[in-house]
Amino acid sequence: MCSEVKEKLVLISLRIPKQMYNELENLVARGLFPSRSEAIRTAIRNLLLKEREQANQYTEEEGKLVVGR
Amino acid sequence: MGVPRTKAKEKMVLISIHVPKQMLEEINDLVASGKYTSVSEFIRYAIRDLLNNMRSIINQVAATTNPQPQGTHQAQQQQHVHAVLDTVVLNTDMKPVANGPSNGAIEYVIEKSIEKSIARAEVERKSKKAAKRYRECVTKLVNAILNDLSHLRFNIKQEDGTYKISKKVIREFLEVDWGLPKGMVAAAYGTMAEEFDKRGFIMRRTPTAIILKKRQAAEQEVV
Repeated sequence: MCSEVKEKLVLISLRIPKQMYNELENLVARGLFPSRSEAIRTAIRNLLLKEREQANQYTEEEGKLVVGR
Repeated sequence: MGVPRTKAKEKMVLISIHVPKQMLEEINDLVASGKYTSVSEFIRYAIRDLLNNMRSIINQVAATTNPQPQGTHQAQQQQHVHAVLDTVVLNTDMKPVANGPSNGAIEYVIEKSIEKSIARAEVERKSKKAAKRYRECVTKLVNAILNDLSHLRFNIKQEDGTYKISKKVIREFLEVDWGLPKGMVAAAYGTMAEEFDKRGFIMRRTPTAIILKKRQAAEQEVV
């Protein structure tokens, strides 16, 4: 049987505005996210999904243009 | 004298986070495409987006919930709601909402939004994991067949330079050994053909078996 392949994680460092940092900390303190990292990962995931959806939309539109030519 | 500053420089904090490699690669692709100037900029944009979404949820609740009854109880409740809004939404500019939403309604909408977000991420993670496992499984099967050409595991029949393998054995390997769903087993033949092609074999399918032929031999026949 297949053994589960552990997802590779990469450590990245960046600077964010202090206010943004405090807001994230508060979301964690309120129990909305288990950790600040998890909140950031969720934010990244959501934006990537949005970007993917947009890209798919453009591809579909391009397809329609080609077909309709 | 230098140019006077019109805007106070925003205080920045250095943070470090672990992200999946795949996620970073996707961000890098977007940066390479010129849509974002850097990975940090992308992440800051994403965080801003998340925080804005939380605010819009609260505004939505404020617009849709019913007005509360007048009186002391209402004043107390509004005070409580604004305390929640300040701590949950963290928007210091937010003005008190007249006839504000109940605490329960805010929590419900936030909870639903987070649940939705988590569910979406989970679906994405599962589909990526399944795709990776599927690819790995097909590669293993192709390797196993090619390593077994002269043995008995796959009950391979050899005739005139062609190898015939029963689909039943293949299905067993995919479904029983690897637990692949039926829909994926059907799709696996296409991927197998690609894999065999990379290893110098041409794959043909019949209703009951797959037939393999070395590409060189097939080309010689044509000549």
